[in-house]
Order: sequence, then C-alpha cells, then structure tokens
Amino acid sequence: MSEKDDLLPEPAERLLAEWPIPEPSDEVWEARALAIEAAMADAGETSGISDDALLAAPLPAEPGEGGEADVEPEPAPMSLAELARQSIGDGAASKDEDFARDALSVASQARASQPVIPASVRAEAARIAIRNKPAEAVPTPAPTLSSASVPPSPSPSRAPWIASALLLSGLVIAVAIVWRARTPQDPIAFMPKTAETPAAVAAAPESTAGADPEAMTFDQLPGETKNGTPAAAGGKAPRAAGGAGAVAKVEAPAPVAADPDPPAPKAAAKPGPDEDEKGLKPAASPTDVPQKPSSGAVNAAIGSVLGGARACLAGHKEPSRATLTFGSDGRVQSVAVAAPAGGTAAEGCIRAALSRARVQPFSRPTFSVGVTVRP
Amino acid sequence: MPQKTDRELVDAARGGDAGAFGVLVRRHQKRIYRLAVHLLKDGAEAEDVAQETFVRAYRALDRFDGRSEPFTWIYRIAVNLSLNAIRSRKTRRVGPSPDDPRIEGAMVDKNPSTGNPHGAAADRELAVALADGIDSLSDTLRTTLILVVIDGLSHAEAAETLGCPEGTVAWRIHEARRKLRLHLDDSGHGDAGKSS
Repeated sequence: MSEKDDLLPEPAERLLAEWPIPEPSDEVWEARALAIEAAMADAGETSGISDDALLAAPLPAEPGEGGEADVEPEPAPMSLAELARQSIGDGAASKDEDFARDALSVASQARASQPVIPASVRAEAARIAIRNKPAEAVPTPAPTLSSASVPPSPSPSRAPWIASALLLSGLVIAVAIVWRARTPQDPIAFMPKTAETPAAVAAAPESTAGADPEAMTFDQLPGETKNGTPAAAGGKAPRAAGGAGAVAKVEAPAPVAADPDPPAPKAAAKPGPDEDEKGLKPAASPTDVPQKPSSGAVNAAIGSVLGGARACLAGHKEPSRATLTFGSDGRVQSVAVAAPAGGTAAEGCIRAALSRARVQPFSRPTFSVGVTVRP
Repeated sequence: MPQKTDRELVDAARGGDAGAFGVLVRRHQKRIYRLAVHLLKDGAEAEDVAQETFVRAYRALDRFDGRSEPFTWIYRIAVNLSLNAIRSRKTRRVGPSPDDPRIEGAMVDKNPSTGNPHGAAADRELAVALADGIDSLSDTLRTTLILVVIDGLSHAEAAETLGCPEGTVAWRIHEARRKLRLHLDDSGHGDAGKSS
C-alpha cells in the first residue's frame, strides 16, 4: 500500500490538512495563558484523573493492528457454554455432567441479562473440563490450572515437578468439589456476585447522570474506570448497591435459580467481610467533607447561573472567559473575567451572575474553575 | 537573544521558574486547544482541557523523564484528558452537532464574497460528512488521524505521543483513511469529488 493509494478525494484531503478552527483573538489567548498561570499557582488538584493515568499511553490497540508492539494475543477465554459442552462431551462424571448441564442452562438464560460470565464461573467450568481431559491443554483463564495438563509420559528428571503439579491440582480440585458440595444443585450459587458486574456497569451511567452530585467525586467518573484506577472501581460499586442497579443485582438470578431455598445462594455468594464492606460502602458518608467539589456539583452550580451571565453579553459577538474561585464553604470567593468582556460594563454583570453559584463545602482552601460565557 | 527550546524551558520550570513554563504555555496552547477541539467537538470543553493540560503538566514536571519531546509529552496529557472528558460525558454525542466548531471553522475560512452559494453548501456538506466519518472511527483511529493528518504531527511524534511504534501509527492512518473513504463514498463524497 502506498501513501498515495490511501488518500481521500482531494477536497477532503485539503480540508483535513488545513482544517481551521475558530480561534479567539491574541488578547483572549493571553488571558487564557494568564488563567493557566494562575491555576498553576493554585496548590490543589483540578481533576480526579491520576498522574499515572494521565501520563500513560492513551489508547488501546486497534483490532487487527500491526506493528512491532504487537504481542501474541492471549487466547480468548472459552465461553461457559463451550466449557460445559466439552465437559459433557468428554464423558464427565455424573456430578460434573450435572454441573455442566446446569452451567449450560445458566449460560443460555443469563445470556440475555448477563453479558459477562464472571471469571469464577469460568474457572469452575474449566476445572471440570481439565479434569475430564487431563492429557490435553485446555485454554483457561486460571493460570494455576495449566499445570493440570500433564504429558502422558514424563521424563524422569521432570517427574518431581510434575508430581508436585499433580498434587497441587488435586488439592485445587478437592477444594472445588468441597466448595460445590456446600451448594448442592445450585450451579448459580455464584450468580449474585456474577450479577454484580453488569449491574454495576448498568448503574454507572445512571450514577454519573444522577441528580446527586454531592455524593459523586471526580474519582467516580466513568472515564476513570476505563483506566482501571482503584478509585473508580471502588466508586461504582457503592452506587450500584444503593441505586436501582442494586435491585437488578440481587434479583437477576432469581428466575434462573431452581433452589427452593433462596437464602442459600446468597449465603454462598456472600463475599468475605472485607469484600462486602468494599462493595457496599457508601460513596461518601454525609459527614465527610470532600477535598474538592465534585465535577457534577460544579457543573450544576455553574449551569444554574450561566444563563444570567450569558444575558450580560447581549450584543457581544465573542465569548468571554471567566475564572471562578470557590471558597471552602462552597461560595464563590472571586470571579475574574477576561477579555473581551473584561474591563467593560458586562464584567460586573457577569461577576454578579456567576457569584451566585454554590457548591457543597469542601476541605481545600479554594477551588478554581474556568467558564466560557457565550453571548 | 535566541529563543529557548522547549527542553530548556522545562528545565527552567523544574528549577522553579514558573515564568518559563508560561512561555511554554503561550507557545503550545493554540495547538493543544485545536487538538482538543477536534477530539471533543466542543470549544468550551476544549478550552477547559487545554487549561487543565498545562496545569497538570506543570504539576507533573518532575515525572517528565526527558526521553520524549516536551510537547509530545504535553500532547499525551491533552489526549488523555480529552478522552477522559469524552468518557465522563453524560450523553454520547453522535455525529457533528449544528454548533460543532469544526464545521464552523471549515466554513469560516471561506470567503463569502468570492464563493458561490452552491460551492459553500457543497463545502459544508463535505465538512459535515468528513466530521461524521471521523466521529464514527474508534477512539484509537480517530485520535491518531487527528494527530497526524489534521494536526500535522510526524509519525514519530504521534508514536511518541501515543506510546506505540511508528508502524502502528502508519497502519492506523491507513485504516482510518480506508474507513473514511468508505464513509465518504456512502455519503456521496467519494472519488467523484476528486476532480472538483
């Protein structure tokens, strides 16, 4: 492929290469630079995204992407249905076969509401598949299980290692069997935990868009989760637990469960005390004062007064930039209005309008935010 | 007096000279803003991201290891902040909106006194189709295309910014153009328009 072959039609290429963007005057650029310098001097942080995330390579690889950085893709984990079918097809023990059939049933029923089969269920199914097919390596997400794929005739020098691996595998399988025995005929004992992921994900947009900015911090914004920051992960679960998503989380498995004793699966799936606490802890206790106002609160506060500020620019053509500084009590301490409205009659009007913004109290001395006021 | 290089300015800023970083801000803020406008499709958001980019870069100066150029390092911060802002939006914006600054910008450059109305309408349609096509690309392809084709970064600079090999950048550009060409064909702005 030559670069020339790639080219778009000439007008499109020309537009791409010279795509102009409406830019403000030099005075406005200077005002913006001054605002940046002022913000640099401010001691606190202005966003929840961590420095690590900020400085990391920004984008995931594109499917089909070439290049030196390409690494061998990890084999996709087998679907629950595939693992179950494999177990049935390989003449599993009747108990395992039951589990496999149940797993198939769960997979088919859960497909509609559970887009993600959790690793725990996959791992359990994989264990059975591996046990029934010891001589063949089965792709599995659980790394410890790979030791179970034992060559049929080990060399003497590797024998001790293989024996250890077999012993370990046996231990793992024994634990798995005991664990399953505690929840007889309940293949979806994991499901309450299973449902947590999609429920939390489903609840995330709602939590972001929710009308409770007080409880939402920058660290809980959905963009943060993509980066996998711990703050983000911890931020969503509580919302799901407390919001509408929590209902789905608990009730989703109910129609699938054939267990006549509903509390049993809950008990079996109940996470450990730490995990439970982590998952159900509210986003912020009412007594906690956040370090800085949340983005939602700031947006809401500014949104409520922006109309008034815009009215001040009636007759103007250019937007103006203002910098609001909130005090720790949540009130606006100062408003700096840059050109072109700065220094005109509109400045006082904008200042008065924006000064009415309020956010929740926070612990930092001040918090500054830039606002563009358009006519 | 010769102008200080970006690296010299960064070194000075690390040594406590905030004014040196101010020079860096004035040198690159237009490009960062322009990049953010293309990524975010929103002038006000782009302005905020541009401001935060420099503030965060200033505060992370001690983490700049000098292996890359300062401006590609700042670009990376701007890209990350822009993508974060997109993910944080409450609603997903599909396609160019009527007040999309890119469309506005594409039309501002045309001289109304010399252009005919039909030509202006066609230009606008092309800009909308192109913007729509760009928006339909994945974040990865879109960002790479914007950095290289629209913003004019070399493949090496884009690779440094995105933390991937140059070959990957080239592949992404090829792939983005291929998809854009399909999109333009579908929207009636394909090769037929090449002669215009």
